Amino acid sequence: MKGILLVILAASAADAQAVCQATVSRQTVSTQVQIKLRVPQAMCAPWIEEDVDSSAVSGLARPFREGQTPERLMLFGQTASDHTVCLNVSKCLTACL
Amino acid sequence: MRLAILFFVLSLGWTMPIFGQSSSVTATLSLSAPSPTCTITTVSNLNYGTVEKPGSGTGSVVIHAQTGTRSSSTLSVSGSASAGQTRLSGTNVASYNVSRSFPATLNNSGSSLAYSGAWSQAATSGGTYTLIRGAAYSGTAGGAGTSFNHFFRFGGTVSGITLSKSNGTYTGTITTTAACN
Repeated sequence: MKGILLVILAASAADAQAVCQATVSRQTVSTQVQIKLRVPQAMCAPWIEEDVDSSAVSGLARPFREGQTPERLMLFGQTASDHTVCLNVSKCLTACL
Repeated sequence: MRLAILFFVLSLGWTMPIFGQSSSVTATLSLSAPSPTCTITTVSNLNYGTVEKPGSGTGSVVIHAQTGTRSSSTLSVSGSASAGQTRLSGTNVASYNVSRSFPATLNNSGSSLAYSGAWSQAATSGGTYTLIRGAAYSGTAGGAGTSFNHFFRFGGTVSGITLSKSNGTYTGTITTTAACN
């Protein structure tokens, strides 16, 4: 009888102790943040004005971006305009890259 | 005759001393509540993709913490973007606390961009996320004998993007800590 009582008392005390000492589980994790910046894409060929040595211009160059082929660009390396650089395809592509 | 023998045996019992001892054995059994365990894992990193610097002025780009969508009012963005996400899993957990630490900047070899983080939480991965105000979130679960999942989504704003900033990839780290009881 005494033995049974001891078992009951021991079990009760241990149970009460376990409740008071609840285990805490803790963990940490990392999340990476990333952003990539790149240069703005250049508009390499502005519209050619009609009055820029029009006798030599056989077509209009439309604006184009990196990786695009200029459209109807018929005149290279002509002078007398701020647009000269953009009439040169190779220079435009260099500027874009 | 039998009766005589029985009488003889019984009489021995009265006349012979009997020696006896008793001992007690103590048995102990310790019961404890099932230990709460939780695991927090990164489901996806926060990726803004590629952003084209403005020719002039300053720009910013946002990934919304609640929806996970990317937007910028002034800058051209490309490439895939994703909100960050972590999953908290646990068993025998009655309550939990999750705290996060955002970096103030994203860095690329001496150049930096300002970052303002935001986060949200939901009970399911594809559920409706609710924005969390502050650096910590507390929740409850089913306690002993149960398991649970909870999800956290990260976004925020990267600002101060100008033409003078270096090209390349800027990175930072969000740290999330979970404690379960």
